[in-house]
Amino acid sequence: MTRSRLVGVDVGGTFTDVMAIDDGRVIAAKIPTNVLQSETSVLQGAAEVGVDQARVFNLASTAGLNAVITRRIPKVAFLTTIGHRDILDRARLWRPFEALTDPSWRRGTGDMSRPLVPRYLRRGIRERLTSDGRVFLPLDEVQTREELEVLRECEVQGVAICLLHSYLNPRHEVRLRELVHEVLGDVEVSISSEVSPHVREYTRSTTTTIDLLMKLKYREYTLRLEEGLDELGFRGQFNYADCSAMLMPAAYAMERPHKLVVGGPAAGTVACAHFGSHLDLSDVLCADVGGTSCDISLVLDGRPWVNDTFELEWDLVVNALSTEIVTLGAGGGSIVSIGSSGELRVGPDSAGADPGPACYGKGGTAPTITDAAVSIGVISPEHFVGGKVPLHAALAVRAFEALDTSLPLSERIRQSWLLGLHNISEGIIDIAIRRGLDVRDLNLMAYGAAGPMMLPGLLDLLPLRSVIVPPNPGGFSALGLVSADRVYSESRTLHGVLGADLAPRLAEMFESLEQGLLQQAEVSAEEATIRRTFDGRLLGQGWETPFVPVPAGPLGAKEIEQMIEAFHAEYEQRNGHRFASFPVEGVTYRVQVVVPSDKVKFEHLAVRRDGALEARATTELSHLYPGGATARCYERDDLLSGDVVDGPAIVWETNSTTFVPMGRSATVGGYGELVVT
Amino acid sequence: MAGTHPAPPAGERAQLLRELDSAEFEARYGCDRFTATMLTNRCRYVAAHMANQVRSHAFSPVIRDGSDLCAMVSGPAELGYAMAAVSETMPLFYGSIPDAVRIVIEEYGADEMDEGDVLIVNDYYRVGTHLNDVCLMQPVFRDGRIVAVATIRAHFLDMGGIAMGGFEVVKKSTWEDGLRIPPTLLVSRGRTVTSVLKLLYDNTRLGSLCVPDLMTEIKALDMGVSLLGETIDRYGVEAFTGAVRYACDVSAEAIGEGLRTVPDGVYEGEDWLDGDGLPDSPEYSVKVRITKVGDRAEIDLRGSSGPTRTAINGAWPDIKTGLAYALKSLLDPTTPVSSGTLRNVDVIVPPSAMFNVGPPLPCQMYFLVVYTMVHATYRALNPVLGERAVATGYVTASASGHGRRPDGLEGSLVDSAGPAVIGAWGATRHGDADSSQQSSLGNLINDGVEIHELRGPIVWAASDYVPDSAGAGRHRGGAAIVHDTLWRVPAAHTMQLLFHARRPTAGGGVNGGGSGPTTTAWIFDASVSDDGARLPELPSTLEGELYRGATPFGGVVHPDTHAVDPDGELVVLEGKLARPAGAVVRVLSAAGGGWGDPWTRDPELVKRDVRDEYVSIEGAARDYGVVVVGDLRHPERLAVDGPATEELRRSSRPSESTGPQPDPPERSVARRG
Repeated sequence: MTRSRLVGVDVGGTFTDVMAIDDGRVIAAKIPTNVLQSETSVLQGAAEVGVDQARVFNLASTAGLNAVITRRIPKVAFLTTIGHRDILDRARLWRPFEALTDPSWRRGTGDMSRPLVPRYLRRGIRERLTSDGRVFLPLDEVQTREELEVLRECEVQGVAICLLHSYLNPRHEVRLRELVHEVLGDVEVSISSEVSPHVREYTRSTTTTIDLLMKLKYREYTLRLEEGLDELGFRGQFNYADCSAMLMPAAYAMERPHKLVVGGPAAGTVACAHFGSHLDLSDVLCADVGGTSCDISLVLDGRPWVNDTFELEWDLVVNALSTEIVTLGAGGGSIVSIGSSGELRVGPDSAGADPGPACYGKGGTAPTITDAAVSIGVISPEHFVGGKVPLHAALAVRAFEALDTSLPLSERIRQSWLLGLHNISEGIIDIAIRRGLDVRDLNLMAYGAAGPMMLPGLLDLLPLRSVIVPPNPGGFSALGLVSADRVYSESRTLHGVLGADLAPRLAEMFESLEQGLLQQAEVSAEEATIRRTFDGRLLGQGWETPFVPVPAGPLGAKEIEQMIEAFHAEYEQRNGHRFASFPVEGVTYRVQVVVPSDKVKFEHLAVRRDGALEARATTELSHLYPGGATARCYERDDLLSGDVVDGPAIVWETNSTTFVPMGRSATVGGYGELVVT
Repeated sequence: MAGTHPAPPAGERAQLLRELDSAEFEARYGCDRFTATMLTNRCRYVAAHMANQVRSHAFSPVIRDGSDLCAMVSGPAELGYAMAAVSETMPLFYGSIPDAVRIVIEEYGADEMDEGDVLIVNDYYRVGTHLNDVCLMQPVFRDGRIVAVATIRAHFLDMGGIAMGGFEVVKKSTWEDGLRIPPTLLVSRGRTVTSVLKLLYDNTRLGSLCVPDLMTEIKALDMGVSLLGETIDRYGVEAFTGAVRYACDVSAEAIGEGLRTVPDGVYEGEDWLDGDGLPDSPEYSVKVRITKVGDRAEIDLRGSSGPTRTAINGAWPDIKTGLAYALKSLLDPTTPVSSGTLRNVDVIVPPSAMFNVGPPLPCQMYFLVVYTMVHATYRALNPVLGERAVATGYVTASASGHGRRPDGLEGSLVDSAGPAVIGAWGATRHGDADSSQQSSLGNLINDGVEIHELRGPIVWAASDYVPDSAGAGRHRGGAAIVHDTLWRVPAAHTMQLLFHARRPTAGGGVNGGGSGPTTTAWIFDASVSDDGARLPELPSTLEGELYRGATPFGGVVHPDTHAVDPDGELVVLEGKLARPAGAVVRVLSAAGGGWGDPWTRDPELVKRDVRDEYVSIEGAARDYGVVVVGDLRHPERLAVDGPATEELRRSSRPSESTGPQPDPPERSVARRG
């Protein structure tokens, strides 16, 4: 073992994946997640791979997300400006497609369903600021104490505070926090002017409430992990991955834990960006097909495409940079059913891990995509998870036979398989259209346990350049946790039309944000990369174009001109039109301090010098092709750089199976990737 | 709606789609079931992709944030351009948009059109809704004929006319509504006809915002047409056409099967609009008489009121919106809408009615007519639906303050919908209803208090739920809300027409559930805010002396105290109320009706409602027969007194209502202004 060891841990709802990397060599462990105390699973995995020599220990966890969506959350209070206690119940008012003609729809976060904070713990405080940040009604400390007495009696564990217009003036929120501590003692408090100082009270309120819940979830958790890791001899840097899978040291993360709430899924996108850089690909579509869903995301210009907000469930918004991920109900466990008009359907229901697909033999009777793959012969029972999980092909077929339809068996299986692929192809078109991209220009990275078996089939539906199966596709996501940099970020809202007169204020703001971040990162400006951006809009618009570049260094009239030009260029790239005659209004200014971190290096695969690639076996494919077909089967470990595998073919490896469809071929690349075209 | 597969005679049960074997399916649709399913999904996705492209690239906030648009995919001429799929967004477009394509292309002339042509139209007499909703249509050609059409309808901020933005009730004719565009060529073989863009630009107030939106929409149509073309090339015109017919048949069958669950019979319902906004207005009503046999229905609208004297009228296409929404929401809430949705329903439309007007009558407020039709249909069917009956809630009330804006235009001083769109829903068999929803056929996004205050000279002082206002029931309706806004500048205040004020029990509770207060509006003079220097902190109550000094300008109130009073007088604002800075407008948005007998509500839920201040301790006893002990300063110590509750529920149960409630009488009218 060497001092260069990197450890990445991805805590999922079912399994905790641990990856240790020594100079490119991967040691993986898979531990069932203890859902109620997932830190024990993390420590178990850490012990299994060994962390005493590790330099970094990077953790992504969905524990916080699961706590929120299942509402296993502590009792907390929410304080806001008098007259507006129902901000959280109201949300943004709109409802989803499936509810448009459904009069029984209720908002999932509303009082009539499952509120994060019940109404009696949401209380109005006598105070008011106006939209310019001035005090209209001073904070009434007498009334405040009365309200806090109620909360004290109710023994809330924390208080989230979001007052109207506080993003412009934090004074009342800061004082209110002092009063909370006076009356309630040492409870956790999050205030919106610190957590997310941005306009729009609803998203600021949800972000602040989630921040509070994550503090309560992760503070103790982090202490227990740090203690446990210490006992295991770990002396390196412990980081959390945020919603864009960038790394934050644990202590820094605990000051802004809302950024951690969805840590895991973004890691795969980071892995794609990092692996893509090895392949000289700067734009990559990323598709992670697991048991329950297919997550699609995008790498552009070598970086994951991020949004400035994300939703945990319908309209439950968190303001934090996060990788944009489109999730489709089209995973290996997605259930095939017959709709009311007799049509086949795939998803959105999933058989999950338990009972799982019918072929698992654990009591599942509904057919799934995995059952279709087993019936077709794409998955061979002997090779599934290296033969460790027994599969029952007869049960898969029986499940399809039990469907209430007049379709012949072969059609049921073939159509289910194709319908799953169609669903995924629409998701890919959607994300490409939203970004103004043409799929003809893009390569698709296929990973997750079921990605390599399904996604090469997309080539028959979409004019993609290629589908690339990276090495170790089953554990590829977790590699993202050892492929990222440490990032410290901060942002501020400041409304104003961009012009030379704004330069001094902007310069001062960037200077103070950057100094603060460098201090937190404990590095000098030379050791880090500083990225400045702003979110702006054409004057009169109600929404912003985010992440427009801002020049480094001193800001003067010339740099402001550059910002305006950069805005128009970005706007044109996103929207297809340029409106250069409109003034540009700056709204949000962002700074990231990026500290390079150790990353996994992918190893070159040797080129075949002599001999030829030999298939290990052949297998008959049923249902998919008229008249059947015979596929050659290969072990992935047998493949060398430059080898070409013609379809139909199957490539086996421990945690995944790649299927090369008829008429397609896979070329093995310099890093062991399979490029299917 | 465009029929694509003839319905069998009433009473005779057709073979259901799921009962067709493969050969029968292929014979009917010209493709196998898988291809039909896949192509139907494809149409839905193409519609969604177009809508997403417009939404994520549009310029004006009403589209980008408010999502006031829809996109759709239609089939070929021989199917009457039947609509296979429509995107998510506003149900208010669902009935009128399917026919719009046929009407527009047939009038313009399919033979006159070429590949790359886009037509523009907004004329409500042809395509429904109001002039702000501009439709663009682009056909897909194969072998020289139209095989599909992509359509986008999106809200244009202003269409000229006497009122900026258009939302003004008191208009006498369509000429006051604004620019009416017949089917017109906007893009000719891929090239924009700039003279048409200039025509729009020169005749509307906010062309610099709206013309860029049109350019974005044209791009989205190009994308939709290209996706549809690729699909048709791959699967063939015959399969695509078959899939459009299949999509329509699926919707028709779903509504038909829903109708089948209603006992055969004749059901009548009526609902009312309070007036047309002019002095001495009569009440206006929509009457529906539904004759239901098997899986079909005939809906007779004769007997409904004639046209109003103002912009509260609708053109005939919107009749379908009202009826389709009402039937779907009651009988089949989840199957997607298509041209087949109303195939099993015949409608008898009187030649002149407020939902069937022609030139020169204006239609800006068509949605008020649509809601009246929805509620009338609910009132006809709710009594026979049993458990499935749905209580109704808030519809709309827009108070707005007018003056000279910073951009120099005269008009509304606040550019976002704000509190006016927020209101309660009614309860259903599935549970209690939310208090903060919006009217059921809308689906706008609420920007919130801070953005609202940045966009206009107001302080949105409160939006608070009123205790004991929700319609009581086994499942409770949403609460009424008091929305208070302080005006920091002088303004002339107006009130759009209110719903159901003359007839407070219209809509409301079902199956023994109660109804709450109807929408009401007051204006308080500047003394309550020290001329704008102080936050008005009006209590969230409907009682007491609070309202005596206020001027009611909509709703039903006591003649002296001005408090909400179902036995009071109807107040209608004529013209505008000019007020100095510091005036405070309070709008009470109507409560939602309850579902089921409130005396059977779980006492623990009543206690929760007391704890959360939806219901007071007194209200719990009075409206639910539940004795809750404790006080609100100690919310977690509140408790249900079990024996006392049992005794109360046994001894003083109110007499149960049986059957539909009688229509309440009209009330007297007071005028302000």
